Amino acid sequence: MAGLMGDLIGSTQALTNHASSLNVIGRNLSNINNASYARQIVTTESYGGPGGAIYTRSQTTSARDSILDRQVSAEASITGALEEQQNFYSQLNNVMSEQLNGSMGASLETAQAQGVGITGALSSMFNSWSSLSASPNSYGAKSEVFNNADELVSRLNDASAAIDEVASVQNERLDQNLDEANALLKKIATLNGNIVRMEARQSGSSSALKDERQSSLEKLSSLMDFQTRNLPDGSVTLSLRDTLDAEGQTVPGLALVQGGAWGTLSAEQGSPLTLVDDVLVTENGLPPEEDENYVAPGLRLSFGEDTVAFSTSSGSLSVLDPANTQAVLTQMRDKLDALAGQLISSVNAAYQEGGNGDFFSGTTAADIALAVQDAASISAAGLDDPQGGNSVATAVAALSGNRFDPDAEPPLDPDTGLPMDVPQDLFRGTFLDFASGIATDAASRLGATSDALDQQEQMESLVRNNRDNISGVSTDEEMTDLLRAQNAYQASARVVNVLNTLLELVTTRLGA
Amino acid sequence: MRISDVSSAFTLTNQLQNIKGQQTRLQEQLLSGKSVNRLEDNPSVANSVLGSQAAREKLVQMNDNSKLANNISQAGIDALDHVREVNKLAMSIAESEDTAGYVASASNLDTLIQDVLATANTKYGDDYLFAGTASGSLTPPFSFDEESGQYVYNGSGDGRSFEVSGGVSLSPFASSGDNQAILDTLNSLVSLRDAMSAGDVDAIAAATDSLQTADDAILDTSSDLGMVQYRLEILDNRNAAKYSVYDNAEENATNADENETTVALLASQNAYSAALQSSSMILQTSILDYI
Repeated sequence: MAGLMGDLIGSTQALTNHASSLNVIGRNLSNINNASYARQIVTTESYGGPGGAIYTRSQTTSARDSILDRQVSAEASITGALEEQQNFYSQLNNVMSEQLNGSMGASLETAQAQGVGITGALSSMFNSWSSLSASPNSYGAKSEVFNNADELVSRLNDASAAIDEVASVQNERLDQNLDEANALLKKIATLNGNIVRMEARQSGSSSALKDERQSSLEKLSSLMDFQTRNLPDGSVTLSLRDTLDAEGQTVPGLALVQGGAWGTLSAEQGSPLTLVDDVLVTENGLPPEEDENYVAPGLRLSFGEDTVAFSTSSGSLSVLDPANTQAVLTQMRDKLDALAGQLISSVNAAYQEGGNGDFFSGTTAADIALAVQDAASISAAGLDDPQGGNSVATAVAALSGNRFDPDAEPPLDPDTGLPMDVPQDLFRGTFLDFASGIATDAASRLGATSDALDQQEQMESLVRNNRDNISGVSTDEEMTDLLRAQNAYQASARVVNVLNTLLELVTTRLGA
Repeated sequence: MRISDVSSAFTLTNQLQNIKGQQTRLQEQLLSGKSVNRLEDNPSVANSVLGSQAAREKLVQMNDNSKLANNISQAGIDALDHVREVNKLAMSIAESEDTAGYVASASNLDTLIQDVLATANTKYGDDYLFAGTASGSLTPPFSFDEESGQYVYNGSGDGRSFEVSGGVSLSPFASSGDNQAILDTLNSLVSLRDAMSAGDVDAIAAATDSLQTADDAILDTSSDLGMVQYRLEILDNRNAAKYSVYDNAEENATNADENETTVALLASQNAYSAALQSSSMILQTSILDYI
């Protein structure tokens, strides 16, 4: 038998436990709209006291599922990569300034040409050469050729500048993302230290800090991919993914956060490479793999004394990684330069046929310009042709339908019968096919990424819902618990009151 | 299954945002009448639309070229008709006058020669109609050579040809041989005038024959230019048909079905209302109301 005093102690503990429950319910309700908060649960257990008394004690734990947390982090990482990719491709999609015009007119008689973007400018320029071939002596037709060619040059220059601008924006975003990631690494390391200290004092007392750390981990996931390991002291270790070496042995990934220490992320734009005889070489004229001073573009992680180059398979940094950004932008710039280069060489070759000079100058989309000074100096025929000839204008206009082929054999010289020394074609197809291909390639990437992002957002939402169903706060549940705790508190208080009456009876009446 | 309040709110927000996005897309389709408004909406369709736009722009240019060719050939026909009228007048003067009147009528022929010369040197825009490839020359194609006392031809070759339909080029100008017939006309008129001034009946007969031969050649030229116009008409019809094919293909590929889009928009609006209404009913009722 515990006796009245033992029962009184047990009831007092019960009151404390119920008050603790009320405290937790209050905390849960106050975080009802906090997505990173994991609801807390009070569990009560009984234990035997002296003299056979049964006492109760309570413990507060967080309803956090580490597997679901990792799933959310993984999905957030994929979403982060797709969002960044959508932003990147959206910028690329604007480079060519292509638009779908809609109807030009119901019939040919009422149709109005309305060239938009580089394909429109190409079309307008070649059509104006066709117009000049019909009216070779018309100043108006020459002026139209000059203005349309000037417009085409401007659009190619603008497109090249737009690629530079995209590169610049991507670099700014890369710096921002790296700053954010480094701040998060520092925060997680700091939280690790605080969690370890609090857990050492009282187990389960660091729930709020763990919520904050989980929120930081999810934010970091949207920036990069990493692996985590929960340690018994409450801290979490973050590291790059393990890799396999050439012999198939696992190479552990370098730590991002270890206990209270954190690493630093940075990016390297890489040593400049130039194209010499179709081969990329370093500043020392060597292939990159043979030049020991060559620095490859990419991400870097420094932890303690170690610094490693790394890539991440998901998160926004996977898109912003200079190695990836430069590869995509270089590919687009190469295509644009091929378009401009072929335009310059083909139009100049046709224009020079009659003894004229160059029509275009430059070699790439960035430096293409008009070599002719003004409309009046444009010649529709060769210098030796009679006035009224249109051989040059006809030849240039015909280029719009010309199909280029880099693998085509060079034409044979009619005099020597040997292959002529003519520049190799820079792309396959017509000018318009190639230009619209560049534009729709970027649009296709954007469309596919947008679709993938829509699906990914649903997937992330599903996983978050699954986690919220376990960790989130429900008003109904908390209010029911509130009533339960309130009633239990009232019941325990009444027991204390009865025990108090009994004790009073014992102490006052027995003494009388 | 537990449903947390925060996930209920997120689910509702996501659902409303999805429906709103769907409504915006459908509204845009109804406003533009097209299901593909941007390249990224359907890149493969967009690629063919860009190609179709370029092809139609070229057809517009071909149509402009064809109109110009038609106008040039019509101007040529009009000029040649005028030369033939003058020829007829000259021949009728030669036939009607008696020997005594030849000398008096010779001066009339001078006027007719100047008339033919002016017509032969006619320009359309910046081009001499009968100068061949020298249509832009500063020197008129026909001029009088004091030394020989004959008219000479300063032009050369056939008139330029240019593209009037995909891969089809033609020249709306008279050919080199045709231009020679005009020169023959001028010199036959000169011979006729000189013969009439001299009262030489045999020479008049020879000049009249020569004029008739030149006139026949001019008739052939006029007929050739008429044939050019006929070809242009056929090519114009072909260009117009091709334009319609491109236009229809683009419309079929990109046009939004108005009925289908309207029904989809109404369905989306209903879904939006239902989502709002059902959610508000659920969220409004709370256990708090019963405590």
